[in-house]
Amino acid sequence: MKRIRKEREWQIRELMFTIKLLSKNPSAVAGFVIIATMVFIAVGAPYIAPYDPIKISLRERLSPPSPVHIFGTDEMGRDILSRVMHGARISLRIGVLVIAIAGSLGAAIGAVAGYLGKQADNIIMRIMDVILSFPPLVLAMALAAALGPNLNNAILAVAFVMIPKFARMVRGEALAVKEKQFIAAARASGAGSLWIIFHHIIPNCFSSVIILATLLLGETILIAASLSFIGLGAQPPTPEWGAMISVGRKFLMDQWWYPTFPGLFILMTVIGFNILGDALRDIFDPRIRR
Amino acid sequence: MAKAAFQFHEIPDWRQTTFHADSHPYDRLPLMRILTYILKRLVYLIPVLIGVTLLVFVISHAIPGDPARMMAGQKASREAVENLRRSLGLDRPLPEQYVHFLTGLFRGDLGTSIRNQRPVLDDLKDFFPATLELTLMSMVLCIAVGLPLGIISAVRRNRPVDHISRVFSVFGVSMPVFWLGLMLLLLFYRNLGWLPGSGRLAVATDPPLHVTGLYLIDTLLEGSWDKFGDAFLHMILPAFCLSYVYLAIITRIVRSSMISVMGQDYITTARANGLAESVIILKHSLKNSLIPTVTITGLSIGELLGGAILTETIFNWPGMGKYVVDSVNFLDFPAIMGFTLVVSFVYVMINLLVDVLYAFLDPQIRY
Repeated sequence: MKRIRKEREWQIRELMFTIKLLSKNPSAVAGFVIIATMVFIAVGAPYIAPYDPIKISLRERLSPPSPVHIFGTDEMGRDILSRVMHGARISLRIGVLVIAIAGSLGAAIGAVAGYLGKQADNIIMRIMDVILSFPPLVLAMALAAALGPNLNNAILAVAFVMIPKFARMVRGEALAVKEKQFIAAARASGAGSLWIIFHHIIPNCFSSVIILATLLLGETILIAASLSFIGLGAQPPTPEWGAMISVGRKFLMDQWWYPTFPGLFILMTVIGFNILGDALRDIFDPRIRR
Repeated sequence: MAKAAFQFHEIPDWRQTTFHADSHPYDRLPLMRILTYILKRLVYLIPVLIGVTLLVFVISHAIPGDPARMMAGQKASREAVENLRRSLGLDRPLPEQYVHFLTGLFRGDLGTSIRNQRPVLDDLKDFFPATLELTLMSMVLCIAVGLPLGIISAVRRNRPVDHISRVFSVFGVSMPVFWLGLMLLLLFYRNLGWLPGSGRLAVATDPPLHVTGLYLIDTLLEGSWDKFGDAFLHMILPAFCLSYVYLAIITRIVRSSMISVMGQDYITTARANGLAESVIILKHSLKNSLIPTVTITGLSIGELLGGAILTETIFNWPGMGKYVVDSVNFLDFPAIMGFTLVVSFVYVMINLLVDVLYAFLDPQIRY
């Protein structure tokens, strides 16, 4: 009991130290602030957005940015600011869902491959290699097209593409973890492979999974927006950023504000995840940890 | 995939190399080693390629949705759909269909486009040169700008130049390509009017005689400088748009590997020996940091093909990427799957080439 409490205490101190390091790292703070703002916008969109994102008002169609409509309006007179705010809701949800699906499946696959080793490892990793032999956007596009153009299918397609990235990393970690003594102890006391994988291997890879997830969230949001842009993700009335740009593209020459603002939000969100992820990785990497 | 390669531990480090008496790196002729390595890699390629075709087959044949119904169109009668299914062999068992699909591939048969009833391979052949030209141009841009920028950033570490180049590359890896294209159009085409906005040549210009399909070369062969200039101007915006992401990645990787190399003892020794700084940077550091750079560059070529989908759509560039997006709008499955297959083949081949290049660059890599 005492030992467990000591372990807990040590874990908490470790966590506090990490947070301290993070708060001293300017890019981590900047990334965190951007993400926090986006999450705030996404959660609060129904309350803080000035207008209804799908309410049509043809009299105000394509009006330029003004105090009434800060980001202007689109071809149906819908307020672009409100649409962009609701778009944050959709894009973040896509990102989190994709990473949750890909992360859990990828981690499970990677842990099984790494722990079992030999033929199982060989077969699983060759399958992952096959998925990695497609450029991510191309494979996601083919899958989304085959499944049918809608948002849920796009999420599945992007998640499928992301699985090997998690699997590869967790496999590497699992190879190292399985040589540890506590695994031998667990095996000696009669634990089965599955039990060990889910109770020891995966929890020990958790922090690296979180870092990779942060890094990949940006990429995920980009791929999902790209799919919507080519017409395979969210379909037009939905205020999704990529879909908005896809429609707004036709109005670029005369109504510059239409495609500009949704894109700016994509850029900001992805930057946020990227710099936060980079900072997390630097801090957790023991070789350059200061 | 490109992201993971930034991690320091992927840079080969001689200290991590273990030398065993029975497989000392110098116990065989270097050329022989490289040849056996290439052979091994080629053998390894076979299961990957089979896997790639299998995955594309599964996506196109075994997924919900009915391929025969898709090809016949929504309005076709049930009988017509059944007939089509039989004539395409879609009523056969799946393994048999796969073998049929594979033998078709060997004969260069990627299926027939629903949209224009032409063989997909012919369509892709027509659109390939435009994509190749754009990709090559972007690659040149990536290396010509990314490499020096990374070096300067590493040498002037934590100075203003370094900060600017780091901000530049963070924006690059976070940029939605399609949006960047629109913004470039807005600025350089609409507002400033400096550069043309779409296509490969001005509307009234006849395309040059088809020799290579690359307009920059064909116009030169024709000897018309005007057309060459026009083709070049048309290429600037799309090439920059396509290359920006990979430019950013290459800058980052060159910077980080240069920094890690420049911290090594032999650099200090070189300095202590009084070598000129330029010699140290170009000869001692750059050469040794080229390996991760080659990986990233190789991976980028493959990903550029993916990025071309978005760039070509924005700039109305008549390449494979625009072709596939048009096919997506028509739900023209054979065309989409054909494109996917061709691109992944190219991707796999480039990866192989990079691995082989490695063997020449770094004698320490063990096979």
